Formats: sequence, C-alpha cells, structure tokens
Amino acid sequence: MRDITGGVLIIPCSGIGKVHGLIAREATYRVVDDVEPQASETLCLALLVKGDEEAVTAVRTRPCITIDGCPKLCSYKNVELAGGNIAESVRVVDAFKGHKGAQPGTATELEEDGWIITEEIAQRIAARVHGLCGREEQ
Amino acid sequence: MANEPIKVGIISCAGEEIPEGTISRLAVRRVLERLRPGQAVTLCLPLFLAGDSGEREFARNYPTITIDGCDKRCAKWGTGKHSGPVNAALVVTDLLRDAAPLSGARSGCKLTDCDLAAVELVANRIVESFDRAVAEGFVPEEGAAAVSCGCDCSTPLPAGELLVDGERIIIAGLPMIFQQCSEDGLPADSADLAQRLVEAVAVYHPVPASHQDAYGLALARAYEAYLRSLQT
Amino acid sequence: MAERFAVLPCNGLDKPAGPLAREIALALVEACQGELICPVLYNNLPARYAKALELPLIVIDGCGTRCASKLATEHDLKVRRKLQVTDALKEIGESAGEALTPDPERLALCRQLAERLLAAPAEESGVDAEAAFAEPVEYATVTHDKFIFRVPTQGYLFSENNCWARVAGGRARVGISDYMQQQLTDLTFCELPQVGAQVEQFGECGNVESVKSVADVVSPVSGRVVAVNAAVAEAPEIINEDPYVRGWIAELELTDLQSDQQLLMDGPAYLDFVRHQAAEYKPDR
Repeated sequence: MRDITGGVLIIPCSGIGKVHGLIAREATYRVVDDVEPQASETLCLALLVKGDEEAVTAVRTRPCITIDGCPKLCSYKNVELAGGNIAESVRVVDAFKGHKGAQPGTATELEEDGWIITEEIAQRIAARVHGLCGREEQ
Repeated sequence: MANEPIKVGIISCAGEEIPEGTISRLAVRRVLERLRPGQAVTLCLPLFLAGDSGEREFARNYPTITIDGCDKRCAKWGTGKHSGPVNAALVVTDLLRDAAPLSGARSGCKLTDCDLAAVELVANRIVESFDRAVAEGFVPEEGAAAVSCGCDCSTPLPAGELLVDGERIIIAGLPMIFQQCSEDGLPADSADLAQRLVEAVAVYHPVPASHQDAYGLALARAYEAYLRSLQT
Repeated sequence: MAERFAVLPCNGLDKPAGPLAREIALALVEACQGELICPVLYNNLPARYAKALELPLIVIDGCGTRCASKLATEHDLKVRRKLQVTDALKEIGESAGEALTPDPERLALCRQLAERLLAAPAEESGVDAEAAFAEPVEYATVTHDKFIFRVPTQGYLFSENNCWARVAGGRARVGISDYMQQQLTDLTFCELPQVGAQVEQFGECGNVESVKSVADVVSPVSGRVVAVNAAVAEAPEIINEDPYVRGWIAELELTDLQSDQQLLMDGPAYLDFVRHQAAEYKPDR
C-alpha cells in the first residue's frame, strides 16, 4: 500500500450497484495515478468506517475530497463522521446535469460518455488538489 | 415462493487503495451479470455501512458472502456488525496466492490480461461459495446468539447487546468480558472502568476512535447492570 | 393586523439583480413587520432562525440561479410566496440594469414589487394547495430482495404507468411512484410541463431522465397545469428521495376526476400491482 501520510486524500464511495460509483472510482484513479500522483492519494472508505486508526488519523490531518456517486453521500457522511477535514464534496450525479442524454455505461464498465464525464470530474478535482497544495506551500 | 431460486447476497469491499479491491469488485459484477444472474444480489458496502435498511435486512435474512481485497476484511467486519454471521468470507489476496502477480493497476482501463484472469479466478471461487451457500440455505438466529469474533477460528463467541448512542450494537464476547472483569474484582465505580472495558471489547469488536466515549459510557452502564444481576 | 412573513433573499453580490433582491426583502420586512433571514448565516446556523421561520416564508431570488429557492429546498422549508427579480422586472417591462448599486428609479421599482407581492391574493400564491398537500402520508411497503418499495395507503390514485395523483379540492398533484424512481435509479433531469397546458388522462406531463433511461410522466388525471415544481427541475434527486411529497412534478386543475378515477387504482390495489411487478423486477445491481 502507498504511503497516505502526505498529500490530498481523495475518497470515492465506490458504490458497486450503479455506474455513478464506478465513475467516482475511476475519476479518483485518474487523479491519483495520472494527473496529480505526487500530491494526492486515495483511501479505502470501508477501512475508515471500520475505524482503522491510520485511516482516521489521515482524514483528520490531510485535506480530503470526497466523491459520491449518488445523493446518499456515503463517502461525505462517513468522512465527516470520522472527523475528517473535507475540503470539497463532489457528487457524480451533478456532473450528469451537463450531459443530457448521456449513455455512461454500467456499474461494471464505462462507455465513451462515462469516460468523458469521468475526465471532467477528474480535472475538476485535480485543479482543486493543485489549489490545496499551493495553499499549503504558502 | 417455494419454487423461487434462493437469492444470495454478495458484499464486496471494493477497496480503492489496492488492485485487489478492483479485482474484488469486477469479480462480483461478473457473478451478478453472467455466472449467477437473477440469483446473486450485490449489496453496496458503503450504503450498507451508512445504514441502508434494505441492504442490511437482506443480509440478515438471506445467505450472504463477503469478498475482501485484503486481510483487513472490511466487508466481513461490516456485515457481521450490522447483520450477522456470513456463509462465506473470501479474501482476494488469499485466493490469488498461487496465481501470477497482478500488474498493480487499479483503474479498469489499465487492467492487463493477467489481471482479467485473476478476476475470472476470483469469480469462479465466489461461485463455488455461492453454490455452497445456496445448498446450505440460511437459518436466521434468534436474538443475539453466537457471533464470529472475526479471527476465523470457527469458534463463535457468545455475544451481548449494547446500546451505544441509541444504536443497538452486537458485541462478540461481551458476556465473557463482563464475567472476567467481575472475577478480577473490577468494581462498577472504578475510575478507569470505561477505559478498561473499551480496551477489552476492542480485542473482538472495533471501536471507532470517534465513538470511544460513547462506547465507554454504554459499557459502564451495562457492566453496572450485570453486577446488579449477579446479586439477585 | 396584516399578515407577517419571514423573508429569505438571495445574497447575489456580483449581479445587479442581487442588490435589488435585498431591497425588495427590506421593503417587505418593513411593510409587514416581518423577519429578515440572512441566507449565509442561515446556511451555517439554521437554528438561529427557527423562531423567525414559524412565520410564513417569502423567498426572493435575484436571477435564474435561484440560490435562495435552492437553500429553502435544501432545508425543506415551505415557501408561501416567491419572486424572481429578473423575471418580475421583465413582466413590467423593466430590467435590473447594469449597476451594482440600485439607482432611485430601481429602488422605487423594488418597493412596487414588494407591495405587489404582499397584495397577491392567497389562491395565486398556492397557499391552500401547500397546506392541503402537506398532510402527512402513511405508507405500506413491498419488499423484493434488498429493495423496499413504498406505497401511500390513502389519498393517492395510481395508474399502471407507475405514476400517481394526489387530489385536494379541485386540484391534483402528480408524480412518479417509488417503484418507478427505483427502477430508473438516480434522476439527472426532470422536464416539467408548461403551466397552462391542457393534459388528457394518460397524456404526457413532463419527463424524467436517469443514466438508465428517459421516461414520460404519464398523468393519471386530466386537467390544466396550474403549477409546476421548479425544485425538482433544479434538483431531480428530490424525486428519488421523496417521490410522493416533495418530489411532485405538476399540479393540475381537474376537469373530470369522476370518470378518470374509474381507470385508476387506490393505494391497496397499487400495492398488489407493485408486488406482482416486483416479482419480475430484474435490476442490474
């Protein structure tokens, strides 16, 4: 596992039942693996809910960005419950509002529209990560 | 109803940090869509942990299998805590021990043939457990009966019920913990009672750092009631 | 004594309509001796205005972003009257202008709009409808696998298209059922019908879109659309969260309820209907 003691934490809900959960997950990987690998990392939501000390300490001491697939806000609520430092809360369902008629795919596999929405969300989050790191350096 | 296929719930950890979480997720989706369509019901772990009554109730009343990416076993822990014992608990790192190493990719668009072979392997192992669960069926337990302590020793501990901040929590080993504390002479008005009880409980049941005080208070009250019951 | 109101304006600072919203709010509060609610403080500390919100609420939005309306929706506030400044000015042939500081002419317009809003008769602002449709609802449920489908036991009529109508007086609100919203999953768009449109029984009364599909809202009753729920157009997830009360889509003035009813199901009958449909329900999750 990677070191989660530095950088912005991006915590998706990864809901398995809907395509939104997959988009949340893939957007996270796009940021932490490709766009801002030095400045961000992800963290298992289930581990946090379980009360893993390392995970709880991490969300309390690092800025967090939660990504929720649907309005049930599982990631946001659980990070908040753990005392997390939430810098931004992203909802995948809001991103769909700019894509009327989109065919994003399924909870297993994204189609082209799904990847487009994923990239949009990822770029928005990456910009926020960039901003948060800039603030810290000051 | 008697002729309906038996449904089995599957809860995947889908852990984001490690590649095995992605494998776990995809394997479950494969079982749901291709290998056992119409019989498998995926239960969303984040929703489950967040309190969705439909997900928890299903796991309480139907055979349920958990698939965890690693040996932290979050899915198994969550299911045990909120619904009860599971029919099978699989761990991807265990299942892939003798398989070719994963590429390390976490995103679905970067998985290699080796990773996809791992998905297939895990999916097939899930199906084996799935079919066994269907054959075993599910016998709901009345009240707070034996609960797994999570160490896979296959010796369930008697469980006790605790009310923490208004929520009913089943704690594995609680009666034994109280019995031991009582035999050690721990009085109900001991200054560090709450702390000692939380430490004892935490061996079998994770106590979130943010809830330590609430657990301590609930345990102290329950222990006090336990001691009074010994006197009657 | 004239009725008192709580007034929630938006906090628009970067457009001319924002300061006008504030001026209208101030004029309203002065005229009715009401309570002014700061949207920023309310968003951070809602308890601060618990007492003030015992009064009926007027919401003033500066522009089409409708921040004050959204805030009211997020906090589940019942809005008695509302005004959107740019629309209201357009109706009287005026505009918000270019300047961020209102000139005397626009200040006078603000007072005029405030007076009109206070003088508006109750029927036009839908007071009676709000009260009638705010009655609590009791539900029965159908469980299938992990899915729980709710059906109101009384006061609702249902069609086989899984849409409902809730009748109060000569009007009815329409929407989609819990079963339908769960089939569709998270809604991303809701297109509302036009106010004034005539709708036949089983005619289209808007549509909803999710990542899975687009579905028409099929009106169980015939009538003229007299109101639409702007909140669900802004936030369609309200329909997912509360399909039978907050998630209403349109309100119709009924034309022939007596004959419409003959083709509709009451709560218990629809409960059975859902039970049968659910047995064939095959979600991909």
